[in-house]
Parts: sequence; structure tokens; C-alpha cells
Amino acid sequence: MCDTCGCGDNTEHHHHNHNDHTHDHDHAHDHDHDHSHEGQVTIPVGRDILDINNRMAERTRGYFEAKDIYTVNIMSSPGSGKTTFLERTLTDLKEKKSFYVIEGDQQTSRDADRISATGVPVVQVNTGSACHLDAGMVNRAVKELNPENGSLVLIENVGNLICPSMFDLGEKSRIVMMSVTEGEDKPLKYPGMFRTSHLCIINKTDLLPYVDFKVETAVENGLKVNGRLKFLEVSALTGAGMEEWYKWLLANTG
Amino acid sequence: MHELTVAGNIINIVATEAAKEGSNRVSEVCLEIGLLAGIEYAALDFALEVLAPGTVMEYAAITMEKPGGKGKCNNCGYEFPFETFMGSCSACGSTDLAVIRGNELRVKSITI
Repeated sequence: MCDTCGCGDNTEHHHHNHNDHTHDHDHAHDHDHDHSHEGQVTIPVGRDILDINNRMAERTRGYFEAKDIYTVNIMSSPGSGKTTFLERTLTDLKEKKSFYVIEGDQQTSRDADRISATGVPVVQVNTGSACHLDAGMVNRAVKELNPENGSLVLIENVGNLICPSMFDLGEKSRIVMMSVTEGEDKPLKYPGMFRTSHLCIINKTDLLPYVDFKVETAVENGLKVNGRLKFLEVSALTGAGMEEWYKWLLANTG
Repeated sequence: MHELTVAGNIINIVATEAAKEGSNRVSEVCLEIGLLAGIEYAALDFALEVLAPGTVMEYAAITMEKPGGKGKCNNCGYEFPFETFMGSCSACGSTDLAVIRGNELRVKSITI
């Protein structure tokens, strides 16, 4: 029944001239929610707050899948050695595979300049006030890079162990890096990041003799928050352990 | 401070949904933000307070439902309360645990 005129017609219709007023009753909304025309109406929305990001990430993921491109999103605190790790990876593997890099930083193109020096195409994304890359930024960067079929796109996220974990970028794998100069309890302090990652790289192992960091404890803590997490120990500076990482990376590219 | 991004998204969603109803002002917004959604509630309140003026949400009362966490063991299927992301299944000891409730991040309803 229509709430306004009481007729049995539930479809949209006009109510002419009752009460002798002349204002327009031509409302556009449906009659399918329960309310009176004078009062307030509560409308169920049920939309995910990250919906726009997630949809954009899925679009980018579809593009990667269609072009058989493998993507990783590398995340860590500032100063864990992500850029050095990428530099060595690119220098060692660029003859074997086609690589592209997306660099996320709040400001400057310093990291992109370092990657560019290896000869690999790179796009620097400056996030400005944002503390993470989002799917829209990566989508635009990918269009700029125009990566060839069968290549690898490595995304270095903004150094931050909290915010980036919430934003799907369309990547295939998520890697969290921690260095031995940080605490072994990083996984316990930042569980969101370690829970959503597939691989944990423990970097700067060349410094192990000088710091109070037990790899076993770090691994144990990582497994407490994510029982499926895999671990690799490397020194991006000396190259120790990098072969294992290359095996992991190339095994995933097919 | 991803709460600022989240707050901006909330306002955009509310504006879009209100516009569908022909309105540019809402009186109430109900959010559903789970305890395991990675949101600091006070930071989100603050971010909304900062961003709301001049938007559809300027005069909106905000209610926040905060569903508690619930986990499920990927190994044996046991379900249990899960508040911290940590621990092992009390039935089989596995650490391979999935979050099945508590990671909600939704605009549930608006009142105009």
C-alpha cells in the first residue's frame, strides 16, 4: 500500500492535489523501504569501506593474469633494506627475466634513482600524505610501465608495518621484510602485516654476530601469528642467502 | 594513520548512497568495524571529526558496531573466540588459523 495516498498501487505514481496544496510529489525513490514521508529513513548500505580499493586491485590483478605477469608487494619498516635487496635482485636476475619496479615513498625519487641505475624500468609513486600505496596508485603506475607479457613487477611499498597491510594492490604475493637490527618480536607487535604475508625475508644477516637477534625466535613469533608463513634469511649487502630467494621468485613465475 | 583514508572512503560511500536517495545530508551513519579489522577506533573517530565538516556527514551521529573476533582452525575446523591474531587451536594445536569474524569494515546503514 502506498504510504501517501493509501491506494493499493505500490508502483511509483503521482498524488494530485490532495489537501489542496500544489507542491510536487514527484519523488524518484522506490516504495520498497519502510518509512513515512515525513520521518527519517534508514537505508541499509552494507558496503565494504575498502570496496573501491579492492575493486581496483582486482582489475589490476586481472590485467596481470591476462599478461602472465607475476607481482610481489614488498613491505617492511623504513630502513629494513628493501631497496638494497631489490637492487641486488635486479642486478643478478635482469638478464634472465624482464623486471619492472614500482617504488612507493612519501617523497623524493631517491629509491627510483637507485633502481633506475640497474637499468630496470621504474616508476616512482609519491604518496604525499598517505602512509601506504593503494590500488589506484599502482594501477596508474602499471599503465605507465606497460610491462611486457611474462615479466615480473616488483612493488616496493612505503616503509611502514601497519597501513600497507590493509591495501590490496592487485599483487600475487606479499612479502614482509624484517632486519636483524629490529626486534625479534616484530611479528607479535604488527600481526596484521605478518598475517597477510606469504613470505618473510630476514635481512642483514651479516650483522648477526653484532646484534642480540635470534633468528629462531623471530621465526617462532612469525609462526604464532601466521602458521603458513615461509622464511628466508638473506644479506642483501653480501649476497648471502639470495640464491634461495631467487629460487623462490623464479619458481613462482613459471 | 590509514584511518584517514578509511574515514575519507566512509564519507564518499555515504555521499554516494545519500545522493541515490536525493539527499545531501545524513542524520546518522552506522558503521561495522570489527576488532580485528586493523582500525584504531579513536583514530577513526578523530579522522571522521576532521573530515566531516562541509560534507554530507557534517551533522551525522555515528554509531559503531564492533564485532568481536572469531577464528576457525584450518586444520580441524574448530571455532573459537579470537581477539589478538595469536595463538594455536585449542583442539588440535595448529597455528594455521583463519579469521571468520571481527575483520568487518563496512558502512552498514545511513539515516536521512
